[in-house]
Amino acid sequence: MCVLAVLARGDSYAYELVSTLAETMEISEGTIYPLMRRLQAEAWVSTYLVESSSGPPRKYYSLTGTGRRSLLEMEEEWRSFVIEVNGVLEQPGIKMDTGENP
Amino acid sequence: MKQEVFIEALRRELSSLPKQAVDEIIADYREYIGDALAAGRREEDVIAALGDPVKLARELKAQANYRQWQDRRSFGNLIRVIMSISALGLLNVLLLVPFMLYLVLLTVGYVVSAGLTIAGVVGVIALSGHHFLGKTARDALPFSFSTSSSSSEQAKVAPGGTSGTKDADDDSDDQTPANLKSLKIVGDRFVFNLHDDSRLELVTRAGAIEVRNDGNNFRFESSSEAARHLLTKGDDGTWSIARDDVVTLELKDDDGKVSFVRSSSDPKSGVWDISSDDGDNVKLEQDEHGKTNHLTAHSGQDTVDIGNGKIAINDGHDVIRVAASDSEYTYAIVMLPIGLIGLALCIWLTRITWRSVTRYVKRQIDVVSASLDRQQTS
Repeated sequence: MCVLAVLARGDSYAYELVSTLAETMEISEGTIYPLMRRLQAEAWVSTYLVESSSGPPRKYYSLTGTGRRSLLEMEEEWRSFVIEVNGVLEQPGIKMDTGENP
Repeated sequence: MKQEVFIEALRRELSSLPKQAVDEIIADYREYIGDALAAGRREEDVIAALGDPVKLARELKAQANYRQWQDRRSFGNLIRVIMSISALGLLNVLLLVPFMLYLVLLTVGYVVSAGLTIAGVVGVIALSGHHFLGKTARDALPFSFSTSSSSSEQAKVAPGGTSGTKDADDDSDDQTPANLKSLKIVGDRFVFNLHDDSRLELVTRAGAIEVRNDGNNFRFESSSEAARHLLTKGDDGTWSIARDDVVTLELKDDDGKVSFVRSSSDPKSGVWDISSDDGDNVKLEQDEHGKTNHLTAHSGQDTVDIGNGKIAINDGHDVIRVAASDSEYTYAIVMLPIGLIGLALCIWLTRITWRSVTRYVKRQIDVVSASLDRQQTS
């Protein structure tokens, strides 16, 4: 979901994605590719190659229509989940990674 | 760990995948490492951050196999998915043993049902062919034919009606109608009308009895008093004994001989042998339902044999045999539905199995994905 959210702001490539995510959360860098392949298999993201000035061409990931819809659904679920949990805890100020997570 | 070591390990672990897919994955990681190095990170740190190449390869393989299976739902692909899932440690390989056993049993079920169906179809077609061509048929087992033969035999057995005749067919229908003059079966009792020079030997449950009529007096010789009491005198001067008490019976008079030997514990079953003094003879076997299942009649050289769905007529020179294919036909007719039901059952089981395995694999893949997500976020 987080990857989708980052991609929703614009197309990106693997290292950039990981770096962006790593700013706000701990992430196992190696698993980004298995994850991206799964998202690709679900047709939530598409890829295209861009020639880079240095080294091999870069693979860019871009969110598809289905991916965007799924992201909206997940955001909705996440928000209601957070509201529910907060309701249970009755602590409105509980710390959540709401900044980047949706 | 250096970049090349990581790439090599990854390539080695992924070797079971198509080369194109492996190259793509390797290119992805190369790109990533290149970007990381460009960002000024140390090679060792980058490789360490990527994680264990063996574990990564397993996850990639499970996903690739799953996708391949979704593209083409073959059994081989399914096995590959299951194997790669088990490599991830999510599934105990030992659990596969009973599953494999089940698949083997299912296969055996298929083979047996298919065999039965084919045998049934072949049998029904072949035997129906016989039916239509009139070679052997159930209606070609003519009961009138057998009765006429046997009653002509019996006429010789009992010339002048001194020992009477015994109709085999009537006897198979019920127990009463044996119309020997000196022996009748009334209800469940044997009734003897003993006349001059006839001799009756009985072995009863209580012991042996011998009855002789010389003149107008009956003379009894019995091994026990109890046996003697089993034989009771009727109003019309006849003697009778309950059929259940008789083990063997032999009645002789000047014209012939009737004997009965019980063949099993059931009193109704037994072998009847009716002979005249000139060697003619009718023999019939009754089973426990009192049904005649074998009848043989001899007169001189002529023999008629009816039993086990076969009729054989032998006049000493020629033999005519008619075999009814009744039993084979029944087998074929029984085999066909059993085979078909078996096949239907197997197909149904296969569908259930396939569906549940599909669901199971899907769930396992979801678990794999979820574990990836966890690693991503943790």
